[in-house]
Amino acid sequence: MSDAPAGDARTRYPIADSIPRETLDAEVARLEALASRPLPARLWGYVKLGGPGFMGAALTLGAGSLTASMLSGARFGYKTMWMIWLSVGMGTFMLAVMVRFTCRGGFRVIREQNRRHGRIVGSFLTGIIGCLAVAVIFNAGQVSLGTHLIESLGGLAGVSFPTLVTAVAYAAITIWILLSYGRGGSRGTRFVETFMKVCIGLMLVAFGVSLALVGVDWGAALRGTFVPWLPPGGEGVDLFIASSAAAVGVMDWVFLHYAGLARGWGPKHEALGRMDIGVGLFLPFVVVNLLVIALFAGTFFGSGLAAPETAPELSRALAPLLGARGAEALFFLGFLAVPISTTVGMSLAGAMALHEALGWEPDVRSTRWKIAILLPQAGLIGAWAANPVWIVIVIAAFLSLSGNVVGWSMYLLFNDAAVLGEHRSRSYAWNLGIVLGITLMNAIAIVYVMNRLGWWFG
Amino acid sequence: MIDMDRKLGRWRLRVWGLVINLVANAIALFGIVAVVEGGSPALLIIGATLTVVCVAALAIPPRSDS
Repeated sequence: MSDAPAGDARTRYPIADSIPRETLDAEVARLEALASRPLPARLWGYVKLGGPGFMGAALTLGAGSLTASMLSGARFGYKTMWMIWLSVGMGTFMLAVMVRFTCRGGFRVIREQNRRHGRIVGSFLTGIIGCLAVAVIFNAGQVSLGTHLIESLGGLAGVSFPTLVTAVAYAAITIWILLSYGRGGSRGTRFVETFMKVCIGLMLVAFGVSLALVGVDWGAALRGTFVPWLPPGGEGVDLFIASSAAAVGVMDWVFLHYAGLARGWGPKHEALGRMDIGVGLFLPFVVVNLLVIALFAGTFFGSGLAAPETAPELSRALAPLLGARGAEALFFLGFLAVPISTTVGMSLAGAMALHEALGWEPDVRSTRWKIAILLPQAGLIGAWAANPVWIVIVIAAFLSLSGNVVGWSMYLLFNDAAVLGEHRSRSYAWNLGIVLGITLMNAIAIVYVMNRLGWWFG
Repeated sequence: MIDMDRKLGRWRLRVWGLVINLVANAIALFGIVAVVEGGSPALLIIGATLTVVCVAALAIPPRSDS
């Protein structure tokens, strides 16, 4: 931080080093000018300047969360929509903590965890299990969905692509985007952020148009969005815990922190960071999921049509119901943005976390960075086969059992005067939101153990 | 207001709160299973009450002089 101006607590992060000081200062000046503008102009300015939040939304909106929404819509109609905004809303408290760490902490969070809570919590549970293992293992599901969608798009054009071609196409797109990150000053990073924003826009347009074609029962949709409902008995508890777990987790926290550091965020970016969580992450996540639930509620729920169980099958079953061929193509294209942007986000998060866990300095031009960022491409196996089940079970076990411990660690850092000084938590409401989120993660870990022991609902 | 950053034995009160909250959550979840299967609500009441107390205490921010 030798070239940082006095009073600038900006944390040195090598990916941000290539951003010229004038660029960062100009961004701060624009932020200061925005603060006095009317709300609409300010919001639009924040959308343009934001990025890490949008990347977080694109990362979270993956095959897993959208499959859950599709199945939920097909099985329960509009009734479970309220869980979407509630679960991601609870996650925003911890995300705001990550923005505080980025802008005011003066540290890199995994390294600080190592110092304060030990390497098992920092490097292993947060970096290796919470980020890298998730990126490598769960990318197979993204690849499987992505390659099927490319195949479906080809089918609409009357072309039949072999699996090898779809897998190569998927890898080529994601690798090209990934290798751009951090290059050319801030240009590479902004390019990837813009790509993620475009992906989110594509999802919104594609699912929005599809929903307009299918039609919405507005009364049921409004009730489902604001009136809590759960299926009776154990199924309801299971559904609530699973939906909450799918919303925001360790990888989202860590990625938001490091993506902010990679943008050179300092103290004056905290307001931008918070807006980025709201406008870039919360809103797109909620709207896209609500659109998908409504889409499947309007087509499958109560129709007597059998809804398949996997994302590729569900999308193929829905497309013909949209009527027009162009609408089918738009739906597949919007859906393709889901796995591609998630692969990009997960790969970046995995590479950043691996470097931090092992104490390496990230250099986007180094072979080590390129290998780290391409590790999740091992998921290309997903184009031919389902996930290797035993690995998924082991990682899911670690994840379920460790997410809450990582949450404890973040909460303790946030409440530690020795770590954050005057910027530590001072708000009862903020802490309450974090602790409620942690309590939910505790429940996920406990239910996982109870399931393994056969003590959870039969 | 309780000083959650006071040391009690090995750890700060805040850390003990997190551990007790985990135990309380487990009791509450066992209680839910019991209630759904037609059993007594006692465990659920104990677990839920303890959870509320822990959450309320853990939400207390560090004191300004800490």
